[in-house]
Amino acid sequence: MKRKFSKLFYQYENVHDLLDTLVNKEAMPEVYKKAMFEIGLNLGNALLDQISSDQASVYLACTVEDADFLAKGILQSLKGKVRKISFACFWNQHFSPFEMEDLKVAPILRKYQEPANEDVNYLIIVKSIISGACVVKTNLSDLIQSIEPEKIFIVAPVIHAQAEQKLKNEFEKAVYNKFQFFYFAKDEKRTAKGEVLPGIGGNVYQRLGFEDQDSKNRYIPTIVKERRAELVSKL
Amino acid sequence: MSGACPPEFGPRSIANRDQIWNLANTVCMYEDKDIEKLFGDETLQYLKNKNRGGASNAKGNTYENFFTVYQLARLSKEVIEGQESIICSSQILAFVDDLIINRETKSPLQHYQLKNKSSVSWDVGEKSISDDFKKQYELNQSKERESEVSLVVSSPNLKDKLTDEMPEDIKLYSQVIHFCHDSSLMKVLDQEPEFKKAVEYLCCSDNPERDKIECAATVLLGAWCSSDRSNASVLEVLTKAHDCNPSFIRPPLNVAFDLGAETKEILDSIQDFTYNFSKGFLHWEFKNGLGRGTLPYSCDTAKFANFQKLVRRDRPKSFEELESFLI
Repeated sequence: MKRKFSKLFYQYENVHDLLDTLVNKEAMPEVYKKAMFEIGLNLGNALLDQISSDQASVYLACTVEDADFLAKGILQSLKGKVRKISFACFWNQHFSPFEMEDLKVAPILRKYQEPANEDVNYLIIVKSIISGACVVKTNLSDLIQSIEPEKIFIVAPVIHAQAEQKLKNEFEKAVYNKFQFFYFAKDEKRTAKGEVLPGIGGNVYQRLGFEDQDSKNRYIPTIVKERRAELVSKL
Repeated sequence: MSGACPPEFGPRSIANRDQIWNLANTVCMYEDKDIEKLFGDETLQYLKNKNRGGASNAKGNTYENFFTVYQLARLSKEVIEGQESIICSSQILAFVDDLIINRETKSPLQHYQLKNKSSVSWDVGEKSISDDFKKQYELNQSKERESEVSLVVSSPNLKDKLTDEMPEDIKLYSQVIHFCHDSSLMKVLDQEPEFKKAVEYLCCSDNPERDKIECAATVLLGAWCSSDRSNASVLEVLTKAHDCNPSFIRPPLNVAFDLGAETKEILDSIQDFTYNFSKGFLHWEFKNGLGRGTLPYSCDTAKFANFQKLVRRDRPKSFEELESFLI
């Protein structure tokens, strides 16, 4: 199980222990959630180093399972450091139709998408792990129908060795030239079902305390409820 | 807002489904003795070896399968609205067997040979493409069926070259078609507008989003690959694909549903929540698109009945109370 750490990994002292917590199958959901949140704080700081101006407009998008933990950490680091942060959350169903392993699809069942209202400098796509890049590809394809960012940051604590290339292959040059990847570790091994090893210690839904995919798709993140209530009160 | 069953469900009913599926058993299959009688034992053995080579393909993402999904989607309108009985076959004992479309007994049999190569030629003599086309035509004639035999290639230049060089003796019933190939189904859809249009017809709304188009096409691909590809009715494959959850594929059969008056009253009373029905699916929006979604199951399913039951039971008064049911 070969793992390579990124340059970013060595910039943050606590990341080693946090990645160990994710891999530790004994870690209970509450511990796992906290580790994801703290990894998000670090990734948020790493992003800030690459955001050139405090006048930047940022759009952050994540999946439902990551919203209250990893994405929340990133948002906390960015808060007050950029001019504007908008947010989107996607509920995807990731599956292989008729159990055919070479077929993968991740349609969007529902989404929460704040209006951009202006030019977006940085689009940040957050995911707890990027393996085949199917979910990231689907959500990014959807977002760039309505947002034209100057740069696209793809952010995950751990990615698979081929994830960057796989994602690039799905887009035109004009889009992938905007990509910049942020991750702490890159793993080479992946099972036939697409699980990266050691990755983030197995199925992220279960590690976060959801029963399965249906269960995480019934979840409404607190961050969505809070931001929505605030936005609706202003509209 | 609407609670009415949309008319675009299609006219087909469950009653004639079995009848249509039974037609799959009447498909024009080629028997060993017919081939041997017409062309001799050596040709029969050649076909059997060719058939064995092609039948071992278990992967979904292939040029042949992408083209077949295109044809299935293209034919779906005729099946859903025109009540046509159409059978698709692949890798059966035939000379041109990557895909065979059998519409009705009197229509020509449509045979497709696919070549995803940069260099392809008609050649002459035994086992050449032109000879396979000729023999396929003769075999169909012996069964009193007309033929349309197509060579499908992934290069537009090659298509032109092969059209120019087509042997005279097969021109009457042959053609060359260009169909692009790429690493993923979505990339092919982006390059083949007619393919995308055909999948959009099958999709859960009139202007489906990109992820729904990809989902519908991929599920249809999976349904085809997991069917008996030697003899599959288009309706059967469409029904199998639609029954996958989620598929975002419209129901191929005309099955009525009823949005109960009570459910409608509850949904209509929720502030900033709007919904509509299109192609058998419920699409909703909250606060001008701040929240948006499509129920992943169609309105003719038990899941939709259960959705209504939950709404009636809990009687949500706000979007916040309703949203956990919108999955």
